[in-house]
Amino acid sequence: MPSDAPPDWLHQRWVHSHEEDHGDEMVFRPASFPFPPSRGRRSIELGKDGTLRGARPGPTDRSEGAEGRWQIEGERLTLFSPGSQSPAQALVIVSASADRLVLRSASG
Amino acid sequence: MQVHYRLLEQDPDFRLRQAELEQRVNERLMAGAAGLRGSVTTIPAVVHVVYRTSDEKVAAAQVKSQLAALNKDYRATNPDRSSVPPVWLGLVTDARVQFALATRDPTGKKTAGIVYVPTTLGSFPADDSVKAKATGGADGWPSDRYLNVWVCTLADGLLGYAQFPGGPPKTDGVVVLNRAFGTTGTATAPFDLGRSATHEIGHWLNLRHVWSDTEDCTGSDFVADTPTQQHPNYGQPRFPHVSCHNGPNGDMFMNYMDYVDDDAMFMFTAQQVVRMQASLDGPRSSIGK
Ligand SMILES: [Zn+2]
Repeated sequence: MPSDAPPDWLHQRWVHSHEEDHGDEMVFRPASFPFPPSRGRRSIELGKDGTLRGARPGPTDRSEGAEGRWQIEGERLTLFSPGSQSPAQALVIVSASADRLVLRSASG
Repeated sequence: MQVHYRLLEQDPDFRLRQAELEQRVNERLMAGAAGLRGSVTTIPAVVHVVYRTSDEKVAAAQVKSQLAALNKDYRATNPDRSSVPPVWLGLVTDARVQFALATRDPTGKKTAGIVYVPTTLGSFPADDSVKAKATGGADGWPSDRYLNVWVCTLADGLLGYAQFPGGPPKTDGVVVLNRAFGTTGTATAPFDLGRSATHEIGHWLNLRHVWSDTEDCTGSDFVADTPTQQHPNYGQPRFPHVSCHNGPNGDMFMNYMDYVDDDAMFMFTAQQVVRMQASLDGPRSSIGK
């Protein structure tokens, strides 16, 4: 993935398609993907202006959202918590296309 | 990503009641006390089937198959408990709770404990709208006397959601996707063993997820006999799955409070049962006997 100008399709809401995970690779699909039922899914929306809208299953399984920032350098995708300068999650982009984004933890 | 979790429940009284309940749980755990209830508590349940299509109108037999599954899981008589890894077999614990469809409605009239409520809505988001007639759903029965179970089509493929003890009475209960309810009829693999209801009622009895709703190994599910775990597990994991330096045995993904498939979850632990019984002696003391 080019580091300077992420393609427009990257700026959408990506939902964790955990059924497709393999090893430490996590597969995300656009929100329009026909997902099967699940107890809860994580999602990340990478806004063009660098804002991040994340959502995860909450303590009683309803989705809970939070905002932050995101940044891409080379193949590294870093997600930041609101107001925090330290990376909350460092990820590596394994592959990316308009309908499939594969990430893994940079530490793993 | 460090999602800043906040409980949805912003109601200060709810927080206070939850804090009181945590105090009660801690006293229990320290004293090793068994609780105030007799040997087994039977909880009357009412199932509100909210439907638009004939498929969504789950049959009484399917509802009864769900009750039968709950009564195995909550008494640790589910045959698949033998699939718990040997290292944790000793933690498999009878929750001493069983469920029965209500035989009397709130006015005292005889009932089958299943209420069919038509709707014009194709699906319900996880926003409590299924819990009120005014928003296209079904009003709950008094939550101090009944466990309300709403069965409907949920938006976004969600299998279910719940509410902790001490919350607003009108929305108290659990919601389960119709296609993941019970073990017969429209119940569809891999969620066709009734475990979505087992999981949601676990929350209703104050249980937390085994990954503690944090993803950096710093959280707690407030029980000491489940290992610290980083993420929810999905599907059918293979033992051991190690995270948060919890080797060699790893995550207790076969716990009902993880996110695995129905045929991969088999157990509550001893301390989870202490939490459930403490909620039955506290905020849920008026329900069941
Ligand atoms: Zn849950």
